[in-house]
Amino acid sequence: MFQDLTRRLDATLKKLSGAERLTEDNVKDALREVRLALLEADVNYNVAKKLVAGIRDKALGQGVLGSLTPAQQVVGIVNDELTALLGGQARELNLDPAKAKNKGMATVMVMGLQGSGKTTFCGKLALRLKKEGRTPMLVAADIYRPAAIDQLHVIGDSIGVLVHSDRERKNAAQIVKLGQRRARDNNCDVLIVDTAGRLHIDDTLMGELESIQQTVPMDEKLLVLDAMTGQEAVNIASTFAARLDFDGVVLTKMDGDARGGAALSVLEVTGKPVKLVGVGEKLEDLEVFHPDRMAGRILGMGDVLTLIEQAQDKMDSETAERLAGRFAQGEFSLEDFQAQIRQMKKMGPLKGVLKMLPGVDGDMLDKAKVDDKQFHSVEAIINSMTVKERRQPDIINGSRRKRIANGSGTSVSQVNKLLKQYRDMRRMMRDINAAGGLEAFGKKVFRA
Amino acid sequence: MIKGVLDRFKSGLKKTRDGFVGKLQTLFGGRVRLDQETLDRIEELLISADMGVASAVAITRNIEKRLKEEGGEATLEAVLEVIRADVLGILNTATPRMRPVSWDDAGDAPKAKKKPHQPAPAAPAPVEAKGPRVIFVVGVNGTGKTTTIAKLAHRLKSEGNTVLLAAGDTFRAAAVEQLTVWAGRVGVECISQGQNADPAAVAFDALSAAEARGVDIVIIDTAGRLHTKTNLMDELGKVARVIRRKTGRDPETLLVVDANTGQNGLQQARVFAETIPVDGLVLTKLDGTSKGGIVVAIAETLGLPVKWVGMGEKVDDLAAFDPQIFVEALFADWSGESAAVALRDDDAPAAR
Repeated sequence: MFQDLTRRLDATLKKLSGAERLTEDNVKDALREVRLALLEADVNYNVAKKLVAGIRDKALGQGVLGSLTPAQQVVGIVNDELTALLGGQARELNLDPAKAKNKGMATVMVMGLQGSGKTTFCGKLALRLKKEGRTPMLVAADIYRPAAIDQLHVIGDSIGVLVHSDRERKNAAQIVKLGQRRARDNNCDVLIVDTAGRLHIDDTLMGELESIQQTVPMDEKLLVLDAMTGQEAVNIASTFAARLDFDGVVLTKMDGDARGGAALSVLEVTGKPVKLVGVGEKLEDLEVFHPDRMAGRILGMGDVLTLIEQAQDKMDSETAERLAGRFAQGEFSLEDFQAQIRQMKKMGPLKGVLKMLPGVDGDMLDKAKVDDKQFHSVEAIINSMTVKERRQPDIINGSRRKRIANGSGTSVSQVNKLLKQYRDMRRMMRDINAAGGLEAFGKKVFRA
Repeated sequence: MIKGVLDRFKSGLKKTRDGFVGKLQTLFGGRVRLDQETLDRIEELLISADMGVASAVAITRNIEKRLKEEGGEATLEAVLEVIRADVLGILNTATPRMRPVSWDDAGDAPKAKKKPHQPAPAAPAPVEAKGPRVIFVVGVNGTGKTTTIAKLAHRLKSEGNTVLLAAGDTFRAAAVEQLTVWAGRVGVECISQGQNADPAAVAFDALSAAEARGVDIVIIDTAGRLHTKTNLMDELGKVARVIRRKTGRDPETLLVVDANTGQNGLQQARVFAETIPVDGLVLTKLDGTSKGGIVVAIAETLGLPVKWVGMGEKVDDLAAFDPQIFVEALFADWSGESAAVALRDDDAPAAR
């Protein structure tokens, strides 16, 4: 999602790590880069400026100057600032019917500009609530575009959710009021109101939204914002905030590669958190917004938490521990390699996994031509070995190589390549252990 | 018709322009000093007009040059003049310079590769345009493609052309109906096969119908698609190739860009232009606040010119792009606090 910003900050921070020590001068350069990156990511320039000023103060205050690990320290500070700005924790919707303003029925009003994805989001939210065991009803409060009403009906029908609409009445607030009554009659406990969009923010629209919320008090007022929005996002959000005091933002079209800096701006300028993100055209494609994870992603730390969750979900922990132990002892055989590949494959396509890693973005993956098929041939080669060969790869001589190549449908050179990679890896692991663990090894390598 | 649109745009402009110049002059006495902070601020301002980093850096460099020439200090007007001239230059000289890799390699390319053993033709026969002119309208979701097509059809018809529409957005619910309704309103014919039909087949049908009826111009709608969806982009390439095979030349492809779009617009344009040859842009949802600065970045980086601007929901709210007016509008309300705060003081608290 925030991949482009990640790449830019990565480059900046690489420059930082290249420097022996951090000086006042190169901090300035780095911060300039961070600021440009934020601007290029559509973060409002006032917000970018404030963020960078905070980072500079903290960086100088914490004695990063002269530190041996300036890059990590700066990253840490930027990460904290971004997370703080993005709103700290994930925010839930306040849809508990017991606490609702209208007894027993939570109400949600969905608003935004035309083309931002309001109606699709309404469908996604209804489906999500239905899966949680709630009984939602959708209300089409758009009295201007008959096509919008049709669209909501099509969506409601496809997920088995009631849709209330009224093509005769020309008063949106009345339509919502009647919808609420009908929802009550049908034992619904959540009312989701899809409002009319406008090409631009205008007074008529704001007045209409105000009159809806005066007629039916809303528990959640959500502003739908296209993740591709540029500097205009601040205008849009602050106008809606001033008139309607909305509770949260829904960022849509996050499955594109927009940097989504608009989310940062909206939070900073209005104080309203992003609550949910739309990540696809299907109605299931709705996710909770995790500020901490997103900040990590912006910084090039990758979506490590999601990766770990997936790993915990899919990997067999016993195997993982056994492998870790063998790594630590520097006894790494092709059998272990094979087990590792099998674990990896369980996590899904390699591209998806790699994308979550720090500093990896779509462009890089395309250039690197990451291909799951490479796994297949490596696995085939190892499968064609005897158990003894896997445990003691050093016994694999010329004739064995030929046999393995024939058995796996590969060539001798491919077998050679794999064996070389294996030997390199084993050597590296022995070096790590000799140096006294991974951290010490890292220092040795990077100082060299 | 178009005059009304421009007048509206201009009158909104005048108000902000007066405020802009006035405020800046009281703040700076109309003079700008050459120092790094000022240059940084100007660069930021340009980027925050959604213009993109590359354009902003280039323009800031020119301002620096100008300030040096004038002995380290220049009038605000001189600085603005550099900015206007640079942006105008970018917009006026934009010509598409990208051609999708492999586009011409596909077997149906109109100009077959010369075979070495064949004698060159005496005179290169000009590619005779046969059949109707074809306009192919593409873009990401929610930018206003269908509405733009209606406006374009209305305009081309009023210029005396016969126009036919092809309902190629077969994905979004009710998109076919939407275009059909517009066609009725504008008074042109619309060819459709309903939802979930193959968009390439719809295009082919429409072209056959247009040939049979001797129609001048065919406008083909497409479903909105995020440029990151490879399969949908491939589908777009397929439709364009079907058009090329049928007509013997590339369609005239217009990419529709929402004026609210930020820097991602550049990536959108790049990927679309890598998929099919794009001829130009239509900038939609333009008004007093959303200015569409991203088209400057697109013009600078990819050479795609803006052809049309859409400014409202009515059928005649479409104007031919005028770079001069656009540039005026782009920097019109740069006063305000934005320019003042940005140009004044690096350490001033940002959002007040």
